[in-house]
Amino acid sequence: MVIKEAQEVLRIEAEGILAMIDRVGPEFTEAVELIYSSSGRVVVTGIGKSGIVGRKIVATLNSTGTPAVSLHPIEALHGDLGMVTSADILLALSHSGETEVNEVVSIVRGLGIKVIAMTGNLESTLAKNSDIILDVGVAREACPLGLAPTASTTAATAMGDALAVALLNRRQFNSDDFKRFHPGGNLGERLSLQVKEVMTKGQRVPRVSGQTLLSEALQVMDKSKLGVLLIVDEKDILKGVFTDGDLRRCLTKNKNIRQMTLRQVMTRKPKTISENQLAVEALEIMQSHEITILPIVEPSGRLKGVVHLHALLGKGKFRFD
Amino acid sequence: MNNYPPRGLIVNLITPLNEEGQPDQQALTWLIRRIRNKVSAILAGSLRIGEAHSLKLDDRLAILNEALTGVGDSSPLFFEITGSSEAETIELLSRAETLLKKRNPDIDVYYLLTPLIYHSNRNLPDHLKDLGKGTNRPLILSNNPVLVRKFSSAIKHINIRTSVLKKISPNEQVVGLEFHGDISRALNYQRALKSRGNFRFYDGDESNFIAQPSSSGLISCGANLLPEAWMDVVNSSLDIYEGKRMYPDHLSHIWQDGQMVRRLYALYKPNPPVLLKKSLELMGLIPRARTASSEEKLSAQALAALEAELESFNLLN
Repeated sequence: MVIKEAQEVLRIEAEGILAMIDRVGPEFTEAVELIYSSSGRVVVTGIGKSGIVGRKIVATLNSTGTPAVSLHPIEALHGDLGMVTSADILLALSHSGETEVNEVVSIVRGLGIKVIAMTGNLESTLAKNSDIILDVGVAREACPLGLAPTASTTAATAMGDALAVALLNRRQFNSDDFKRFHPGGNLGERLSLQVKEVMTKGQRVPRVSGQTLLSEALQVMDKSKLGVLLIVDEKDILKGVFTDGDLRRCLTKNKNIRQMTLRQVMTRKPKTISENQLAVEALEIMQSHEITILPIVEPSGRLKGVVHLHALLGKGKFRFD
Repeated sequence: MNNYPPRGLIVNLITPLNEEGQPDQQALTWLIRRIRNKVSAILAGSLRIGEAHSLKLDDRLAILNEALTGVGDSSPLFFEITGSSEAETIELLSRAETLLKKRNPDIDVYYLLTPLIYHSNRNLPDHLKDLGKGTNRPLILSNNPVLVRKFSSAIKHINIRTSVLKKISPNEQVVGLEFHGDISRALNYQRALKSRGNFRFYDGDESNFIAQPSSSGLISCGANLLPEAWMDVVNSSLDIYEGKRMYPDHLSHIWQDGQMVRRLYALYKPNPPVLLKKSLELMGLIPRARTASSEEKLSAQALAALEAELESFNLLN
């Protein structure tokens, strides 16, 4: 009897997922493209079991290269909405489509943020107020009295996986990337932060003038332990960078480098990033240009700080292959 | 025009009868008004619970007429149009349409049909298309093997075949199915209808719903007695309480409601029309427990058990 019951539950849950296959349509592609083209994060919100499923989806998205954070709808209404930026996408989960999540949706829509709903009720308030609806309805639950959602949470989890995998393929995420995103437990969460939350700033930034002699500059570089010097003018505008890699190259080319100024040896027009961009974007720039530091500048070019690969990934936990 | 009916609790209304065995219009209206704001929709004049199988067509139309008065504009209405033959079904549908045009053409009325009572699986999709030509309103099928067995020969199929249902699925006028029977069949039906995302798949058997609830909802006769408790159980099953589900007192409340509806279900299951009417009479909600069939009498022992159970839930007047 117990085995038969278990088989029935498993069959109900499996049928719930199978039934979704034919219902996956253009709106799924739209959701993938919307997230892919966004420069922000996927902010996932839901309450009750949908909230728990949402947190799993956040973890899966982060693990597969899509920055995501979880937002509790009640906490959102008590201040946490401040973490949502206009570049983000809201993924709202509610099987009934009639929960506190709707209040969050109505506020973020007012901010011009796009909303993707994952709901089992296509006629719900949530569905009506969303830009894209992913139908995760199931015909039957497996738990008596509906004490706990079963097939519906399985379906939402599976749809979250489908979204993450489709995005992963869209980004051409490969096994090396996967390794990179799994050095430690909280990496995905860390990469979903903005650059300003992980950058080095203030006095700890190794700023020097272009007139500085290399012999003096090396002392600053050594002290900062970042392996880089940021060359600025009198208005603190970034003019170039000089890394320990540049130093090695100088040593092989020039015999008397101690009397040279940084202006002579620095790399001009270095790669930079804004403090409001995401840590994962900083990582992508570092990866594509095979560098380990990025200066952070304002639109005017004024230096705000610097971010090192170790700060993004946790010191000692990560190495490029 | 093919609006989908609501998800949730649909009460399968008993038909109160007067001394002459005709629908007691006043009692019916009162009963509907008591329930209408507690449920998602009302099913009036069903074959078994509404005893329509024992009533004349005029009486069935009188039920529709009173149900329209009772629901006003507030609740969608389901009305069973199954006759003893194809011709009778078409006639009832036609007369119902005339009545609706006269009373309120815009009201949400869904026709419930148990086709295997008078029609075989063969050519059923065509029959439904033909029937649909007589109305713009949506149809909801009922698959009720126990009821069909009662009215048909032993060699006839008592369930709609899954392959036939698949052929019916492109017919968008058919918007839902009331299901009685084995869960395995229910899953096969769901698979046959998977291309229809909004298709309503109501449980007609309360025990099925309690065990493994359909996400469309329940057509319940027990809601005649306990609409609030059934609504709680249905809303819980349809995940309306996503947030509240986190709280232990909410879970225990649903559990208690579940125990109550289960116990009462066991009580009226042997003969729902008779036992539900007697219960409603004992609760002071209808003037008399008369049923359409004079053979359906309650034994003294059964009556005593019924009274004791209702008393234990403080339901007696």
